[in-house]
Amino acid sequence: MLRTILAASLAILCACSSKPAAPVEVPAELAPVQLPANHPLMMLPDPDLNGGHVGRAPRRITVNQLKQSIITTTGRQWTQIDNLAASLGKADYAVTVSDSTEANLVFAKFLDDGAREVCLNAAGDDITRAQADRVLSPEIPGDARDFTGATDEAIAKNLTTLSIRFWGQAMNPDEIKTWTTTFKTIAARAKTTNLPKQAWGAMCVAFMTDPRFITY
Amino acid sequence: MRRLALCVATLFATVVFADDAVCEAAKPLPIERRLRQLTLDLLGRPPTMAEYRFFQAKGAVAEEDIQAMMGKEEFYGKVKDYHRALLRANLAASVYNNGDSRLLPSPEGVYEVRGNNAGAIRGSIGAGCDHFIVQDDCNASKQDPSLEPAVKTCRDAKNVPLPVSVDYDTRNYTCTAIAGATSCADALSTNKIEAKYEFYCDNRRNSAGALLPFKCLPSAAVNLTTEVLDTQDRVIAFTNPTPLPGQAARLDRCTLNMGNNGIIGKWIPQAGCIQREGTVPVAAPYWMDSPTSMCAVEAQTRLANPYTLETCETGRYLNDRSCGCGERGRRCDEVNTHNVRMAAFAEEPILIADSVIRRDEDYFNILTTRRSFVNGPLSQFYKQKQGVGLWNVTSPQSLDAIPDVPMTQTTTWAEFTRDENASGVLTTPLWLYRFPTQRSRVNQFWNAFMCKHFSPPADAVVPSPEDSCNRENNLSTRCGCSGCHATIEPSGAHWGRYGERNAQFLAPDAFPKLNTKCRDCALAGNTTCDGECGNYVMQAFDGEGASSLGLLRTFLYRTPEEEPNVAGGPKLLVERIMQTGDLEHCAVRNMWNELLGRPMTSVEEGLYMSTLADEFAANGHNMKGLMLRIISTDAYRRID
Repeated sequence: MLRTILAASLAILCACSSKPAAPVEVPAELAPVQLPANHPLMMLPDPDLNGGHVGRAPRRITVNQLKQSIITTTGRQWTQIDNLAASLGKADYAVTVSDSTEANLVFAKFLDDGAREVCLNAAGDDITRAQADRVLSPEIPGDARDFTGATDEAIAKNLTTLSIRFWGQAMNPDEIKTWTTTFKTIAARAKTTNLPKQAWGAMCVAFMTDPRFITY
Repeated sequence: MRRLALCVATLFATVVFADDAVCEAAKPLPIERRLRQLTLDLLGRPPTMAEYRFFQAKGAVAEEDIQAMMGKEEFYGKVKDYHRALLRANLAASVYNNGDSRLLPSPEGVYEVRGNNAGAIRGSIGAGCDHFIVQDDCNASKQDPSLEPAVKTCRDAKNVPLPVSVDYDTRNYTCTAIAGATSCADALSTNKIEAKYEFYCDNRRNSAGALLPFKCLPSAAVNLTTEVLDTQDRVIAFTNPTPLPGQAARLDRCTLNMGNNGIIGKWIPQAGCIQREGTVPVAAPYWMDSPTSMCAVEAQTRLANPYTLETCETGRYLNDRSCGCGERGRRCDEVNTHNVRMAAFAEEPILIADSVIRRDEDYFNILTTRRSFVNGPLSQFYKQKQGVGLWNVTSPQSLDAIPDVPMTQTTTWAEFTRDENASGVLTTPLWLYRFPTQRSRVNQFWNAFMCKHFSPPADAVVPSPEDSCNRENNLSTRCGCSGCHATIEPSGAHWGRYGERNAQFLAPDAFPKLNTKCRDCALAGNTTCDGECGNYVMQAFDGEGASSLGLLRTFLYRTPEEEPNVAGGPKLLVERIMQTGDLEHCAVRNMWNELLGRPMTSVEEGLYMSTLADEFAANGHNMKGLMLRIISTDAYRRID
């Protein structure tokens, strides 16, 4: 299931890329990663003989990690996470003896609920905060009630900050372009409906429900 | 093919990294990704922005940075979670509590046990005591003057509380409110109830506690249709001339008298009646700070029935009117006590493992150390001998040596040293209850610490059902079973001095290898020996069983070479397995799986196992060192 989501993400990401990169020649040997000085060398196995893998398996975070991720990235906790922990895959060690890290639809649905709760509250709190104290728009100067005047540079900087905080990786330029366009649309709608928290709140939901937030 | 696999692997990595979706060579993780991976794996959380900025400026996560992470409290929390999973630390499905020993407060603030055993004490399941009469002042008021003697006896000669009020049981009687009357006396004097039913007028309390008169007559279902009259033409009983199986032939009018079935020291409630004792003021129960009130039966503190001398220190206390809940209610539970106690027992071995890792000790000390911890609930559980009947846990040390932590301090854990029989997590109540039989204890030890599983070999042949070898009782030798049980049975003997389905240590002085009383009982056909020989061989199914009658069960089918396993306990098992290297290899496998998110493949075992296991051993089985070593591998630094 995780792979399905990842593959779907791949398709989306590729579709979003306006300028596909040119194919790169694949070397026959794996390049060793940078290891500390004097680190004993441990050879990597031949991928063909090792089920196609030589490194860590990409995996979904556990419920405990999700709980900590939410509070670390947004500064607040999803109120229902403990109630839904078993459904999200947390083992109780009495009946279920290992955490499930399957990225299934139940997990996706509940995470979506959680993201809406946490993100909209965080964005709501941001409205009255000074720029430096804001959780979701720390790089956007000016009034937090109206983001329609924000520059592309400021939006890009904020998206990069959030992507590092939520995913541990910076967005690539193509992705920033797409997300900036989306944000501008949402910001305009938020202004029209006089619901300013929906601007960065919606982007936060997108960050939190992205596979990169729940995998590592 | 190799290039294709690499390309596919890289594509997955590319998606996760959200780089351009092109096939390119695997490359080191960007520092943000590596930092996120490390903090999620070691600290259980993603990095903070401050940490991202610090390491972006620094340019790399160095070994000393990882070691610094391993000194954080979050790291120890993650290691605790790892051991919770390894030990399956939850007793919720292992200790059954039906609530029978639970003391619940009534609306009047009287603590009482209202479970199934109230049937044996008061005549009806769920019945409480009389909250409105103080037991030792039982003649101060009468609920039903017509049903009670002129002068009630509050306690018998040995101070056992007797009933002070009685009600007809609506399972047998239909009680109808007497309209217009304020009491039975009023109803009788105003002829609102026939005089002959004087003894069937019952003053009953409504939900507000007020007494109202009711006329109670046998319900149609019990078919007691014939009235028995006394010399004054008052009904004193109802009979059924032709009772069907299961139906009562006669029900006498309710009184405060109890039966005893001819045995002094037994109290049997009158059929069809709920006979209630009163209340007594008591000192603060163990979960409270202030004095309170308790039903007179529950408030008793005897160690044994004063007449029969049967013990009150087993589950039978709930059915014995002379026992009670003990000093400060220690035998009984309060509504939260059970969950608090289960949580504490589940946490104890986790803290043992935590202490070993935190102190950089040999990791396998978790299997052998005598060190342990108690919090308030556990400390008082041992010191006050709480939870009688529900729990069967031998104190891990003399009571004086167990730290005294107040009951309410659930998060304060005090370290102490258990007695010489203790063996790390393997003799904790969690392990013994969670894995309730010798076989399950062996199975879990093999799974968790040796990464081995008992399953028939691929070429195993199931014998024909007609094969006489199926009738072999010794599983170590029975065809189709011996493949696993030849290992399981003698290994299980290492837990032979621990009871099954409990955490009782069967000390040799109290549970000798041969108990002649049990043997004599078995030979006489008394296979339970009145409940005294549950840990002994009491029935024989073959010649060896016949010669083993009266032996502690673990010795059945044990060879002379295997018998030292019983005395050696789990500690001896660990010492033996340590010689094989299986523990080290399994620790490496488990940690590899934990950090890489997938099992080590056979190819990787060939490449890494000996190096990692040898280094682990050379490093004094330092778990942090092993984790650091795995984290430093080229494999951990890639995602594919």
